[in-house]
Amino acid sequence: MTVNSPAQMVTRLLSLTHTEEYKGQSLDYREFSRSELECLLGIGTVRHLPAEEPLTDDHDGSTEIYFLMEGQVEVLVPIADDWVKRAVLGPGSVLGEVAFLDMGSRTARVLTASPCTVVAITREDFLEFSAKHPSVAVRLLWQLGGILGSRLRRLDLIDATEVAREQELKALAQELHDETMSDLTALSMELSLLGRVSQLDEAAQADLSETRGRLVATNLRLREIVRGIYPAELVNLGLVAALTSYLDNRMSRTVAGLTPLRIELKTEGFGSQRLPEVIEIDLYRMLQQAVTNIIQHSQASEVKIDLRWLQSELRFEVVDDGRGFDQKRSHDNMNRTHFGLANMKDRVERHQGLLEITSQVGTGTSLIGWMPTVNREEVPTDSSAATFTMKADEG
Amino acid sequence: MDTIRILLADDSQYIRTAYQRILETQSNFHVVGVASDGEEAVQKALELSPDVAVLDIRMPRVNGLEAAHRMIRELPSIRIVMVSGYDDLGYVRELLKDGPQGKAYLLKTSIEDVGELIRAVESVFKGGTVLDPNLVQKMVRVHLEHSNSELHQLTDNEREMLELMAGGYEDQDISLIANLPLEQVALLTQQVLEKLGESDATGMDQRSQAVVRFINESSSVSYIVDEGT
Repeated sequence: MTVNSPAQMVTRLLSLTHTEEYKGQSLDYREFSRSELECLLGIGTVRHLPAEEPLTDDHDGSTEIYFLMEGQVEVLVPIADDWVKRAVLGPGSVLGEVAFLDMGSRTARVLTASPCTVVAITREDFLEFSAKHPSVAVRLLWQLGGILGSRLRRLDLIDATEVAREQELKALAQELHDETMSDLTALSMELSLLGRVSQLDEAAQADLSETRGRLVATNLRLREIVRGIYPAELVNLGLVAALTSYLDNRMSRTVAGLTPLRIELKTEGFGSQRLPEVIEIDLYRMLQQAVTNIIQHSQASEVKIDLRWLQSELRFEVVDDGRGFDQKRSHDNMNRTHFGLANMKDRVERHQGLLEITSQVGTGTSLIGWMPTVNREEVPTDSSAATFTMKADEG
Repeated sequence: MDTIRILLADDSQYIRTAYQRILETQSNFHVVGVASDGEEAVQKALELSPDVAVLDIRMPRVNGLEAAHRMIRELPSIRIVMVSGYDDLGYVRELLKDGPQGKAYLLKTSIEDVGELIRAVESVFKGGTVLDPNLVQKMVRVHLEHSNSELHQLTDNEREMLELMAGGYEDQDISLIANLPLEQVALLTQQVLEKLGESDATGMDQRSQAVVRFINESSSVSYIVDEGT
């Protein structure tokens, strides 16, 4: 059946209300009378789309809201460097409501999975409609609020899962660091001792020393793996020590084709006080991502990292003199975690902070961030500065 | 040769066994007690009054640092070798805060070379201060430095001497490592101590103070070691 006239569409929508299939992204149309629905849909434009056609794309600039009448669509979200399918939605579903409400960019790409019919309503037409039919508009907005609310609850759940996951990683890394690696050290010591005190012939001595070499190498590799899972220094010594250790380690490796790089890390106001653990890990991972970006993409030669913990706020800056990027052109890349930037922002914003990323081709990139912290009675006057240099690989 | 009575504490059975075997290769080393956590280590130290306690920094109940401070409060002449998986100055400062003499801070990765553990025990027994050579290297690499650091007045040669002194090496060892005649090493180390104004103290104390100075000047974070001898 093709639905074209508002009356047909209303019949269609009201026939759907008993299916629970697409609940969560669908309105309860029974809250409206036939005439109210007809009036609402009447202000929209009916569109017929073939299969595999984009309805919205992220950052396409549109802000209309869509009511899906016929067919199925797929919702794709950008994760890492790929589009990942998040949901399949069917008739009755509401689409594009986020940009419709906040006028921001589209958050997802919606593709038709089969031929579809949608009704598109612009913000302007809806505003006009709501002046004439405020009661219908309010009910519609309440319902949209409900949809966004349930999505927010799901997000909170995901956040909680992530925090729990970090805790598990931490426990795993600590056990590996303090127990397994320690035991490997003991074994390596025993082998070293065997070589010293036992009467072995030359060949056996060589075998023993080679075996010990492999054991030491295994332990060092394990150290790197553990550092990647969760930095032990962060647990025991805090953000500044963990960053120093990370930078020292990262910069002591050369990567083929790189220009020499110098990183200066300045910190202020930390002393022996510690930030809350959840903030420490997010800042550590955010700065780690910033340094990785610089090493891999920026071609910078000088980087300044500044961390200042003032009385009730944290200020941080990462400024490089690399090649930078065109913020307008790479706008979708930016938000699409192309350089992990969205993820970095998220790590700051989840603590009610701000992260501003500024870049221009040829003049480098700067990240400037701020985060509120609990008011401190005493602010340590300590400051520290460390420099790390990475040599270019000549080989 | 003086007999050195040693107490070992680590929560890993493997490590305790390895330490014991290594230390007992030295005829004058006697392992008089073994503990598997910090609390037990303190009790055994009070019971046995060992010359040297070899402690893991992370242990159940009481950590190595706190165990060391408690031992020193009761037995001021006890020497400490702290073994740690963390190459961080924060822990070194904490260890040295009640004086640097007779203390070593070693990294687990370094004592895979068993000679290092033996060297550290011998050195602290004589009242020396030993910073793990890999940690010294890290400090040099990272350039944690005041712009007005006193270390700037040292020549490159003298700086190398100071770094080796911080590693707990005596002149004879330094002569071997740096491949320089002993007389020249003795002259250079003396110059370092004089430039750093440590000529009041004598012998091992003088060198311990130089290690503290190295840590102080190499780190722009204020340092809280009581330098009184």
